[in-house]
Amino acid sequence: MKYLRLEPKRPRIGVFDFTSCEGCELQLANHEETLVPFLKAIEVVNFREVSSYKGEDYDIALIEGCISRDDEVGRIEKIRAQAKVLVAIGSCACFGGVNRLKNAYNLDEANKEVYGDKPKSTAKVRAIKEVVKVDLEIPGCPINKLEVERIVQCLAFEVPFNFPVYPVCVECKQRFTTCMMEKGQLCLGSIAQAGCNAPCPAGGLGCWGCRGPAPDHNFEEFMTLAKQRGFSEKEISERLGFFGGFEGRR
Amino acid sequence: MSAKTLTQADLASLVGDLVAAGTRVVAPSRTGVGPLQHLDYREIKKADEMTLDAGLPKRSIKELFFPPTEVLFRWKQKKNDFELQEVETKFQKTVVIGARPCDAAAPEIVDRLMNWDYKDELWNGRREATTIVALACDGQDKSCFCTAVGLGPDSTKGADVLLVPVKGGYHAEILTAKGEALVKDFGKRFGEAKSADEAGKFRETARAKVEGNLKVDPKPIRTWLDGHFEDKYWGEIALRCHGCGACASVCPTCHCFDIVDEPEGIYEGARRRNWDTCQTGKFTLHGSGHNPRGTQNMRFRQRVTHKFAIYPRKFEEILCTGCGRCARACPGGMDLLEILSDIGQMAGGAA
Repeated sequence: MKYLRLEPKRPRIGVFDFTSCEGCELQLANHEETLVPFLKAIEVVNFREVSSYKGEDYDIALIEGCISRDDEVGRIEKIRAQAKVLVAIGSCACFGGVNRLKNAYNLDEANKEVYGDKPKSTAKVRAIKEVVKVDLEIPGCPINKLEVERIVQCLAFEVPFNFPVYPVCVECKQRFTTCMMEKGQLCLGSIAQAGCNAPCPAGGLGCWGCRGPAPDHNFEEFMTLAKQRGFSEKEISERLGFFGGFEGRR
Repeated sequence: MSAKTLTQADLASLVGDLVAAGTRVVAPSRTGVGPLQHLDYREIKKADEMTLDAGLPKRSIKELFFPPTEVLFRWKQKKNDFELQEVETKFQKTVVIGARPCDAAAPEIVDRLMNWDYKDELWNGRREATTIVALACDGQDKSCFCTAVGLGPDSTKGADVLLVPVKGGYHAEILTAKGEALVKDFGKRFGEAKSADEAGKFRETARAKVEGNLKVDPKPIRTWLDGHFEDKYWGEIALRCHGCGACASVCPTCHCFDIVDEPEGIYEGARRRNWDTCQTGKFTLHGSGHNPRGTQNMRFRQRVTHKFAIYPRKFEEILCTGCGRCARACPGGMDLLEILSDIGQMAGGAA
């Protein structure tokens, strides 16, 4: 394992957006405290929020957003062909995100509702992995810059990286945040993937599961507990469907 | 061992004396607002911040010796080299006032592990700097079971001084050299002992109250655990468990940790020791991807077995002080009293 005494590599990175709010890209340019060393550790080849230079010789492609139009398919396939490593960043890229709610409606009706008599091309929302091969997924809405830094540091020094394999509950315990369920709110913390450091419960909001399901989560017990506490099937189902990470479990 | 009397007024003055002498004083104190108000061990500056008559604090005193996260050293990458920065291993003198006996006992149990093959400098440094003035308990609620693990609401284990409530103040038992030193340094606050009988009655009543909660013998439980690693009892034990780690974080004796390098930017970072728990899958996940404890049932079996068989086998101590916090904190309603009672019955039946 190369580490510490060795000069790190500078991975050549391209950042691209599909159907999304570009908030995750903005996250990459956040955390000013370490922004300079962060941009020094990588070589930005193509990232329109950071540089006007548009190169095509990137090794790692970071993809934000989901695929919701047919013309996006060709573009993602081209990026896949160029990139040695393709990383999906954010809930939209990983699960379809909030955009996935569209799939619950008739596409023509949705089109009319949004664009009126000027309809646009539209398709069922798909996560990036439903269209091309994805090598790594960094979930979150938005992604957590500190986590991205950890991943980039690991890539640059060729050190293995692991996501936490426990639910958000564990991070609330670490922060001594009072349980949201105890406060009477619905919270997906016990089944959602940790790694965000549980900012929502700490700020008084139950977890919405933007990072998708935790490995080995106890879904049955979560449902029992949520129902015991008076939340309806509909409420729970809406919460589970919000970011698309729990597709198939509601 | 000697005994003294400490009146309410003298205890309040003692807090003032200690703070004035530059000692950190930690005591049960009310914190939070409205329905979230609760009792926790916190640093206090004045005696009126201390609440000694409102039962067991939410969390134990574990984090005074073993913080949830602590830096072991920091590193900085410099081109082809790196720089290390060590951490301070000297700690501020601390007196804990009003530690419940279940909390006072816990660090002494964990001392065995922290000094077994490797002497843990950070743990020992904090332990040496701290004097524990325990307060005999009158039994918190139905989840208390200290008497079932060989302790009691008046147990002196791990305490330097034990205060037993009597009319107008406390009957103080001075138990260790550290306790003697405290009495010597602040002699004017301690009077002649005169309420030993009254203190004895308080202790008897409290014991009787807690004993009613759980009647099991830890010895046959240990034997049963040793012989029943594979048993149908473990098959569905964790159906209610979310793997949230609440039990481990409130437990005064759970001490497992993970050591990780955490970046603080790109070219610098810290090696940290963080609380960990056997209740998450990551705890035993191998680099190969294989996990020898692949299900929550296996992880829960580990929790019970480590506390009541593995640790006793290695150190002749039960890794549990019967504080009952795990049962109170569990969102799913996993109840250690229920489990010990089940195992106790199975162990009794087999004998």
